[in-house]
Amino acid sequence: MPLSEAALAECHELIARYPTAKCALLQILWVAQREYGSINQDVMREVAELLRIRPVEVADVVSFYFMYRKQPMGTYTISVCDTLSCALLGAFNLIDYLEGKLGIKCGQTTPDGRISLEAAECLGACSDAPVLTVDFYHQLKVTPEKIDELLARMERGEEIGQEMRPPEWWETPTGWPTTPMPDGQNPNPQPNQPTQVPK
Amino acid sequence: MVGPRLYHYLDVPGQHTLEVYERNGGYQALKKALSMDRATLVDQVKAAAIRGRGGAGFPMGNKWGTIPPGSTTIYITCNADESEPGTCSNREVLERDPHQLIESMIICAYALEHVRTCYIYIRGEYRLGAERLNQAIQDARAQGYLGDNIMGTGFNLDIWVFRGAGAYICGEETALIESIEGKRGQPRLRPPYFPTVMGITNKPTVVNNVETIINIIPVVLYGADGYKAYGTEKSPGTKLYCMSGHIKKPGVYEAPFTVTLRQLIWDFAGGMLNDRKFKTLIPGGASFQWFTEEQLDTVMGFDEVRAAGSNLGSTGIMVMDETTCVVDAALNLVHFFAHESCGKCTPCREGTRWLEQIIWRIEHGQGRAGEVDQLLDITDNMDGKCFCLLGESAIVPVRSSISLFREEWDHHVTHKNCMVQRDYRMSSTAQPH
Ligand SMILES: Cc1cc2nc3c(=O)[nH]c(=O)nc-3n(C[C@H](O)[C@H](O)[C@H](O)COP(=O)(O)O)c2cc1C
Ligand code: FES
Repeated sequence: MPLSEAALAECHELIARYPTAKCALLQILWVAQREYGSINQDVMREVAELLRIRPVEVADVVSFYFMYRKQPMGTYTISVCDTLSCALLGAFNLIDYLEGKLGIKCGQTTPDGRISLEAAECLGACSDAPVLTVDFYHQLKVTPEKIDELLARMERGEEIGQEMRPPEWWETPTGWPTTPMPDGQNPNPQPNQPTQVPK
Repeated sequence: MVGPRLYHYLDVPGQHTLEVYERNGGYQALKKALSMDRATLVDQVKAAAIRGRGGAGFPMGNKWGTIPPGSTTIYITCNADESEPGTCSNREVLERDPHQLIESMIICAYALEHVRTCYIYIRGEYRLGAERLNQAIQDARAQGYLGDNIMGTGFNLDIWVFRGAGAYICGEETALIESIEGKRGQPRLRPPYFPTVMGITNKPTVVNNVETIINIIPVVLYGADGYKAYGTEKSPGTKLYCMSGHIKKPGVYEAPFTVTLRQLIWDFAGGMLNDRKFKTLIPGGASFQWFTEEQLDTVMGFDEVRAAGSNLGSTGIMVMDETTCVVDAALNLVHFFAHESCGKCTPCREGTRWLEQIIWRIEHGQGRAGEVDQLLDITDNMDGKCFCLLGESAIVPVRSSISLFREEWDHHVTHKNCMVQRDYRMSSTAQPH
């Protein structure tokens, strides 16, 4: 089944953005993955034809980048960060909890094809650890209760978007210059002596 | 008047939309820059000495100076592949204030003159960031800030978002260029492939981190002198410090380069979580040497941190308290590097695996006598022999934690257990192979 007219038009628009057609390869693969769900040999061949490059060049790239899925994924994909900042705050507990709840291991999909679970490397939200993403929309400061809630929403087929951090999580202490400073005021203030390290 | 800084408007609702961004002074710097003479603008950027925030700390103006004179096609690429563990400042900018980045890139492109196209290489995991960037680009184009004949100056520019697909190594600038060229993200040999000389399709390409680029706005608005009012002589300006780990209020805090680690932990982040005792921290992201209590008064500028024996890197500050097992922490980071090794060079591809296997055994009570020294021996065999800095980084957590906490490693090997009372395990129970 070839790509739809609309998808093809999108691909041609993407190709025009780059000095060579091959430069658009990664972006075209994103379109293809969105259309087909995953990237198999036929898709690779189609993309190669579109860009007038050899199929092996496409396969080379697809095998390198893990976000191009070689197998179909579940309706929702849960990726749990297991790198240090998250691990320090219990990421592996969350993984155990999810594995228990879903009855699958990381890297697997539930038999009904609804949820895929995977462990991921740092997801770039370390300050709100532990973190997981649902279809790469971040969920912050995750707890087992929050997971229950997310799973219930998936059960109802809801769309799950990004969780945005409320401003009060990261308030800058007073005395530090992140606001405009009137002329003549020292922009490098010495704030109060911080508390000493408890011995 | 000095300020507002990079993060000032981040939490304003709707800041990611053009309307709110403009209401908060958005695109004023662009208007000012377009009325400036290019040479003056470049001089201001050089004088401001904006240090690269992506890891190396190389000043932006100097990087511009390495473009061969007479180049007629130059690309600017924004490195938004932020994957260094502990670093999370770029994501906030991309999601909450994307116009700030776009405005800055237009100014950079205008200053360098022969730039017709810019790319933003955003990591695949930042889905909302990519969506908001695309929307912002579309809005900026509709408003005449992008496209042909920008604001009547006859200057043309396109910015495109390039979505990566999940590879840490693509943050390395030459690997990033390979990736944009539609190949596996494997680093290139330098020389000859210095990006500013031979980048995308062998044309000069300036690769800069998101945070580095957005610093051009205060430089344009307040001049190099106003910009230098913050920070130190060698590291002017403010930095977005990403604080994570065992602290009460983890977050990304903007502070001048004069801030110390102690201030960051106790003033900004509210102190140690559950008031436990501080043990160690990583000041610059997973690739850099660990600090102990002795270095807590280090000023967090590029040269000061280097003098203290580590590197500011991308300021992913990961704080660990007394409940942290350093063997497990090292295993966690080595697993990261082993997983992200691109496979191009043998010392990194094999070395990271060996390190992971041995540390896993030590961590799981199967360590054999002499294996700690064997680890150090492997790191010696990797040191200076890897193709790029990824392999060189992978040995750092091992060396750092062994040199700082040797007795814990030895305890693991001799007693087959851990001397630390810990809350969580930090690595997989599955044996790596
Ligand atoms: C393994 C590796 C990973 C890197 N990852 C990133 C990254 O995620 N983001 C980034 O801005 N720079 C990263 N860098 C640094 C870039 O190679 C480059 O120095 C930087 O983008 C230059 O921008 P700057 O001058 O603004 O710092 C990485 C370097 C290495 C060796
Ligand atoms: S370590 Fe989990 S998001 Fe960075």
